[in-house]
Amino acid sequence: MTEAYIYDAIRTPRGKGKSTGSLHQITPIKLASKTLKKLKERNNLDTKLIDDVVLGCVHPVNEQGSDIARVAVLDADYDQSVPGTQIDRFCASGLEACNIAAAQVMSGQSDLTIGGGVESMSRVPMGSAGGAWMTDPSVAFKTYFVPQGISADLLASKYNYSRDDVDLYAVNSQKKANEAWEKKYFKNSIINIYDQNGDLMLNHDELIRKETTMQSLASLEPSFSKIGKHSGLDEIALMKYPENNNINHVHHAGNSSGIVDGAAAVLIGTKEMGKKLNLKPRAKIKAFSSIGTEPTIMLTGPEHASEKVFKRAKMNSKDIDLFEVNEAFAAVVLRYLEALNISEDKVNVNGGSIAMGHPLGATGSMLLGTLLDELERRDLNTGLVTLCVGAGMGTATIIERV
Amino acid sequence: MVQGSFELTNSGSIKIKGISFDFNSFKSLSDILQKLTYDNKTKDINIIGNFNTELQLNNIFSKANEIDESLSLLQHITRTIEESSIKFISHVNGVVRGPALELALSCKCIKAEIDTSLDFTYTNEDLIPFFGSIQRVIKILGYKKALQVLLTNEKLKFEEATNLKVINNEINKNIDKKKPFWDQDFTNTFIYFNSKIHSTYKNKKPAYNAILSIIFESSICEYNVGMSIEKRWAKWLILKNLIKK
Repeated sequence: MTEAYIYDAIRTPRGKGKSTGSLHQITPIKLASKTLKKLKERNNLDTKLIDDVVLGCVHPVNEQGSDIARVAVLDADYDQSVPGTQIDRFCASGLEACNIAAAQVMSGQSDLTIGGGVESMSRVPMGSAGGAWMTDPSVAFKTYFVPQGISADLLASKYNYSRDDVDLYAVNSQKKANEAWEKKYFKNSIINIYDQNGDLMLNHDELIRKETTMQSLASLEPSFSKIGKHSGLDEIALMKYPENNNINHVHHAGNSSGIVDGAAAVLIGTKEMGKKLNLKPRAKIKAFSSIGTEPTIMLTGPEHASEKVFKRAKMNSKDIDLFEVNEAFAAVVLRYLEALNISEDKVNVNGGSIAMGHPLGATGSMLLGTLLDELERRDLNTGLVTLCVGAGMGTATIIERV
Repeated sequence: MVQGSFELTNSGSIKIKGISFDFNSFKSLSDILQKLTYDNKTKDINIIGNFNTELQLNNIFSKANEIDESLSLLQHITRTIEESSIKFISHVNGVVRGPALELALSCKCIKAEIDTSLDFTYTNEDLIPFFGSIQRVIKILGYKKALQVLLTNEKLKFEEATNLKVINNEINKNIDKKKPFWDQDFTNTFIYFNSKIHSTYKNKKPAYNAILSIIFESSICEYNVGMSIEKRWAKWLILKNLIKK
């Protein structure tokens, strides 16, 4: 099997996903094409050599619709021979896009690919894409569908994570993200976003609240308590998990991932192509895997995807120096730490989506770049990225520095 | 050309004088508006005078580093008029176009005489509104009609403008935040039926591309964000023209 190497990984800053956010005025296609343009510029790429661009996008409708990857390729002034495809594995779309791009290389069908993702949550809001899982009663009832926030609270209830447990995790995420920004740990990956006049729109993740404390979080009302209790959603969750007496609603805006806008891109290729283009390989994609899990609790995918990818790579959790586990909700990471029995100081060392936000289609590829930067900074070798995924799935990827 | 100015008369009107308006002319208008805002007694203000001279902009965008300040001032003026609790009434006649049209559109009411024509001749002259009027026209005329008048150099004569309730009618101050998403409707209704105009102007008149982009980018945005998008594209067009010179 051909080995797939990561040559570069970049991302936009994450702008608040609302009308006051700094990236709200910019369309998702521009977020994606600016990222591709920057990847071309800083690697001096002859874009004719790129075999495919795979971009994750969770709501591929309206401005994000009609194969945003191909349109971004054209808008980024890549050679017209470069195709593009948009994929959707919900929250892991960005990572899955990189995995698919790597798979093309590993299978010998491509020499140079780009994986990445984009989501403008301020312009194409969550839920825009509809879908049978949430809206068709015949499917929603059969699969015991509950919104992800209820699943997160179910997860916390099942594994006894208290409000303090999840809040403490969130406070630490904010602290770590703030420190990482202050110490410029993300500088290698971040591309500043300028408008068409060359005026700066955003150069930092604007969601971080460094002043977050346990006290400030304590004042926040649980986000899913009302809909859980009054819309019968708690009951649906408890039908599936009767061993739980009730759902303890512990998640709120401060310990859940933030709604943001952003895009990312990762350059992946063979060793030979790297040599030809005079690019230095930064890491090898060792293995990746996706898995389906129980859809009502929904968010346990990371542990199962990790176990699956460990088997594939003939490794175990002790072989991993650093982990990036998407902070969709604080309980997701707490469960991951417990299930894999790993130390918190190896996981999300520079904070995560609770502090910086989760631009759904892009986060996975952002995490891949963050992990790689941190492995290099600490001079460590091996890392794993994983994300929980809607409808009960998980995706994981292991990379090794070269 | 006669230097333009704005004067607050003893009878409580704002009088437009002269033809050619520079940054200081508009700064003085801004100062008048600020004064009126602080004076809670004022209820109605008539704006009278040389509307049919266009209010030609003189030397406002000649330096790249001053574009932001100038555009902010122009938008600030119309936003102040538009959002004020004072009822501003513009009195127009003849051909009203360019900045004069933008100033009139920001008022609560345009009192127009029978010879009035509101000329939206932006794309033909490769210009776009500088005072935030794209959002305003969408608000007043609705999405589809706004597209038509802004992109086809339309002239609204007295009768049509009356029927559309643009003139001699109080403009509803409530801003419709629920603008429709950009959709197939646009392609079907505008580009198809106006394909001649579209093919004449697209990529040939940068202003046409800019107006389309403004409408697209702001189609899902709140009013004030739309204003900001307009400012960004206005700057883009001005810079493009400065480079050309």
